[in-house]
Amino acid sequence: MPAVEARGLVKKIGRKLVLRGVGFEVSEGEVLGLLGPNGAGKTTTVRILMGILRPDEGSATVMGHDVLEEPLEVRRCVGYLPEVPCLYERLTVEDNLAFYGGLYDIPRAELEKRISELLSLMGLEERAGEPVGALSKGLKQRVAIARALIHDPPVLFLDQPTSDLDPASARSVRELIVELNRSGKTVLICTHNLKEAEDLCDRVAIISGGRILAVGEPDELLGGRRYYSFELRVRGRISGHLGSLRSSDGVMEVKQVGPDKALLILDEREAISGVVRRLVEDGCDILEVKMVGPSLEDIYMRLVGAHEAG
Amino acid sequence: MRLDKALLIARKDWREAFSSRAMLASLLFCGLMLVVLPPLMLVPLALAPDVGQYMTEKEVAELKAILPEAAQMDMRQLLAYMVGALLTPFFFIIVSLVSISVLASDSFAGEKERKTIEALLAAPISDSELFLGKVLASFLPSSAITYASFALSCVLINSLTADLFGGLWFPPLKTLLAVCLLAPAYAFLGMCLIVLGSARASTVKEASNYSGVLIIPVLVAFLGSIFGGIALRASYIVVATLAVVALDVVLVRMARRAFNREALVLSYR
Repeated sequence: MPAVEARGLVKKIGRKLVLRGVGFEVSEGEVLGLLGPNGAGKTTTVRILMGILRPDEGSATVMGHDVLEEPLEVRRCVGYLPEVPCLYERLTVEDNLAFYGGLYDIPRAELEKRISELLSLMGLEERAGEPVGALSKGLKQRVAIARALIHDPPVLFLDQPTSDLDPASARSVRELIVELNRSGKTVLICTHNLKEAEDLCDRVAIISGGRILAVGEPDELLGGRRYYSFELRVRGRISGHLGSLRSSDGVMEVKQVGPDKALLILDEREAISGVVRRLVEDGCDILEVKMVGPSLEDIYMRLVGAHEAG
Repeated sequence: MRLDKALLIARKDWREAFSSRAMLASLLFCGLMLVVLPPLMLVPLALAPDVGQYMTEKEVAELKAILPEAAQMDMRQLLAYMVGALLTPFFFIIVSLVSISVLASDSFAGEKERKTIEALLAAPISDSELFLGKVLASFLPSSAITYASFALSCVLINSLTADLFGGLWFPPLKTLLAVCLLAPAYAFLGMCLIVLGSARASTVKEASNYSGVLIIPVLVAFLGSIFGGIALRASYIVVATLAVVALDVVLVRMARRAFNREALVLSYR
């Protein structure tokens, strides 16, 4: 049984059809990234899975509980990190956690222990008595994650967990997500951050315009590609060598990206050796050859771009 | 529905509200107005024994028509009684409405304005528990302010005028009914309007405007009794209270229906 299952979710908000049959599964212990641009339907999908919004069509279950029939049970199974931290800024870190712990019916003694463990896990022991409003964005996000973990849920829904964070805070949140997954949590991450999806997720579901365009492991998605990207840097100007590059075997496209740099799109990875040989024969001094693809970004741009265009 | 969860939400709202200086100042101001202003209106009577000499006989007769139980009172007693039985009830009704508006708009629209509502909606609580928690968060402190202020007001008014009446006289029955029953019921009506308005409003200020409309019937009743010569009887206050409670029942059902997760999260910006 999958930990999370969405089947044909359709949702209209006002006059806009936000979801057009979204379906996917998340296995227990897996990290699935719901990857898509703003307005793709990521947050609406998660809100339906949390039982906050009702789908017009379709169904969903979380840990076997139907989101429409048993919303309270679903919410007990899930730790939810919304896009904004949703913390009570006038209350202290500890008070925020205690309030939510109470809503989850955690006995008082157990709750105190749990809060103490979470404060320690998040490195917030020193800040426990401070009003949340006095914390930095990164620390607020840590408090919000602690809140999502207060009832030790088996499933986590994280909606853009690192957006608005500085690089160091974002990195520490990503490390935390990896740790949580290692401890057995099933994680659904909504993100438009390709690097994040690539680094954290076992599988990625690319969503755009309310439709799932592709689902699979990042490597699996990348394996379906028929072209590879390389960045080439030479001594001097590269403009004189563009003709040779374009006529080399396996080269699909050449794009100059700087006075001494070009981006090559090849139909197979091995074609790069022929390109290099050709340039050397032309008397070109090659300074650097860097594979910049295939990346999830390529896949994402191709799928989302094609969907938006079509 | 579990009352303990509703109370947990209410307690959280109180801690949040009372940790805001602006909120505390607003509520203290409301309480202070209720405690101080009615007795303050009696001070001229205590300081100037001939305060009523400028009233014409016609004006005195009109005042006694509005307050028939004061027919046998002398001029100073009549004026004190007017403050206690005519002005004070209206004053309490309006200020109770203001205090609940401050609390309710902060509790309902405040969650949206401060962007805290989505995590609350994702917690394992029913819409009814959430709604009741928010109602208690607004209604209980507002009622507490009204009753505590009224108790203090009674002490102050009686201590200022006990000699004049030869003993304790405040509150007259109709004031007691108006402050203890009508004012909370009317304030509850204001809170329901704010809940209904909060489904659309995204800021505390916007939401608090929805109860403003309720000031008008109070002013109409007040001016009607003074200029229209309508006697204020205890029975009228009981009838008015029952009518307001009936409206409360209708509006609280409407408000409960409007207060659902989908409406709240979709109006959340």
